[in-house]
Amino acid sequence: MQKLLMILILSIFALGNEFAIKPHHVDVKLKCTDCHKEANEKDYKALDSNSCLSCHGSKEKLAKRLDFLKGKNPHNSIHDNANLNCYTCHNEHKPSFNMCNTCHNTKTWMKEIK
Amino acid sequence: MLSRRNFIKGVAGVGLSAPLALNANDNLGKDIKFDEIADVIIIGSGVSAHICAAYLVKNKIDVLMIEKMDRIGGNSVLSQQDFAVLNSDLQIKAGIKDSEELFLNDLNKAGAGYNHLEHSLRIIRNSNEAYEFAKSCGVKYADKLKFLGGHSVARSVETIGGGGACISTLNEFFIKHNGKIKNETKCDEIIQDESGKIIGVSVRENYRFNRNLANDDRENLSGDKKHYKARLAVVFATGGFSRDIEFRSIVNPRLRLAKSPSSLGQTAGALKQMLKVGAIPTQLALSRFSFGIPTEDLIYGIMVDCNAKRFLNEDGDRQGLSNKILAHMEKINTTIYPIIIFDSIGFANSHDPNRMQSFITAGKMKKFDSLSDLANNFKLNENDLSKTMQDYETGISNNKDEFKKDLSKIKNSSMSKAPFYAMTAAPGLSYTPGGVYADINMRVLNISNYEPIKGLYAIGEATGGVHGQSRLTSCSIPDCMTSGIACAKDILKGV
Repeated sequence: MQKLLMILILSIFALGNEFAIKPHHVDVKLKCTDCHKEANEKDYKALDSNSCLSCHGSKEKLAKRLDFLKGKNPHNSIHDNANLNCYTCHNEHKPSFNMCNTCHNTKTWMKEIK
Repeated sequence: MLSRRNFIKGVAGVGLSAPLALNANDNLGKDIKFDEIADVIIIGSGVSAHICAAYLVKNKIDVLMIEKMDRIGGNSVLSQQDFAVLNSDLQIKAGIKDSEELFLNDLNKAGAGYNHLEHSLRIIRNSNEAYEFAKSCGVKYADKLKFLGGHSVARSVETIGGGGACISTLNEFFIKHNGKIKNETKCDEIIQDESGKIIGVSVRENYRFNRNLANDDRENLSGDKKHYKARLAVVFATGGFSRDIEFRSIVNPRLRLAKSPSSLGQTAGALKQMLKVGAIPTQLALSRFSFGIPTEDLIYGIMVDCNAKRFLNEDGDRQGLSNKILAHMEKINTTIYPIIIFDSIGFANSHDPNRMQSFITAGKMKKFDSLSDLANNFKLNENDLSKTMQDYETGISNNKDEFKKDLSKIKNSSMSKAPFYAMTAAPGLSYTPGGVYADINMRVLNISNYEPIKGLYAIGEATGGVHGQSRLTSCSIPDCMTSGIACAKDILKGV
């Protein structure tokens, strides 16, 4: 029994490490199943942008919130308008990636992305 | 020509079946169950792909466009999209006298004779048709001409909103005319029938490009395998390979240390697929660099390597300077890009001070009140840097520069008046002029007989030999657009 419990704890620990949830999502008590709708855990797939938008509203709404950045709005940029996928930059289970930063020095106008 | 199937059979017969099993790809059209069928399949979603697609759907052709990245538009959405056009409405309005000969002369000068003449003429003669077609699809151009470096007259039109606006406008046009597009769908292989004709592609849907892999083409196994059939043609509008460090270092070792400012998906995978079915690799060693700062201003400052030493005459064009910088980095065995430094007088001498100021606002260039701040920021030895600057000033006072810079051109710039301004001078490989060779109808030619490979086209940056040694500024868009339209017209001939 103790051994079984140990395995269970270890596996939760391992899972927790690999698929940790970002602090802002922990704060609102998100569970794996809130995003992943597959019945079986091993069938979980990477999400598309629509899954994010089911809570965060539309891309247009998200773009509007950063309107004050004018020409430098990452959610409505001169390159892509509001056409990018959320996961182009934002990741849930690994560090996010600031794509703008691959060409621009974003430090002067953008915070580290969550 | 031996068909692939026979080839595999033949070699298998002599007992080499095991290693070949890995290569026994299913480009044997006959037995494949196709998941999608379209008249034309276009690989890539940049400006070449979109203009070709727009022309085809306008003529009621059923087009499926696929893009391996999640982002649509490839390198085109990063581009400003200045567009050289012969005899545009704007040139006529401004009364500018331009001609085929004049434009050709400019292209030949930049291309240094490496450019295929028939392609230079294809660009020149069809540039206005392409510009008018883009306008008819809704792309907007500013009401003024640009007189850009290397052109003997003002002939470049300016795309309003740059490449981002151009691609989203063309994409809307394409979708409105029943075009279909699938992103995160990667072409893995070209499918041929027994006669060698291209009849489709095998792809992976739900592909997620992984920028962390050294070679995404080889290592990324994501996605679900599917087969797409093309009734008329497969068009490779797959861009260049400037992000593929592994490949570009093979075709030209000098390119190894260059910065990669182009879109993340610019790998050589698509080029390799075309080579596998017999395309001709053309001028793959060529390069085109962007620099981050107008190179005509560099003469007013000095460039130092990571040892705080000068190593070149700062007066040069971006191609020449980039080559010298990369050669020097190889020589002193560093991956650290040099630093360009101006003092306040040199900074003020810039031909476009507003633009210099914008580099500071953007954080690309920094202002330093003291030399030690500058040295600390770029991790340079302050004493060595100070000596380099003094030596430069001594050279100015003796009118003799160590690197033979023409000091009569520096407008009294110095290297001692604080504040100082500095930025990294990184040669960025933003465009690879090499690719596969195509005829002026953009049919990819076969290396074994120089005849078109039936059903296979390549357009835009994916082709090679078009621009030659150096691509004239604002001539990528006329190339992409005229090649896209030429390809579409050739496909329509067969309908």
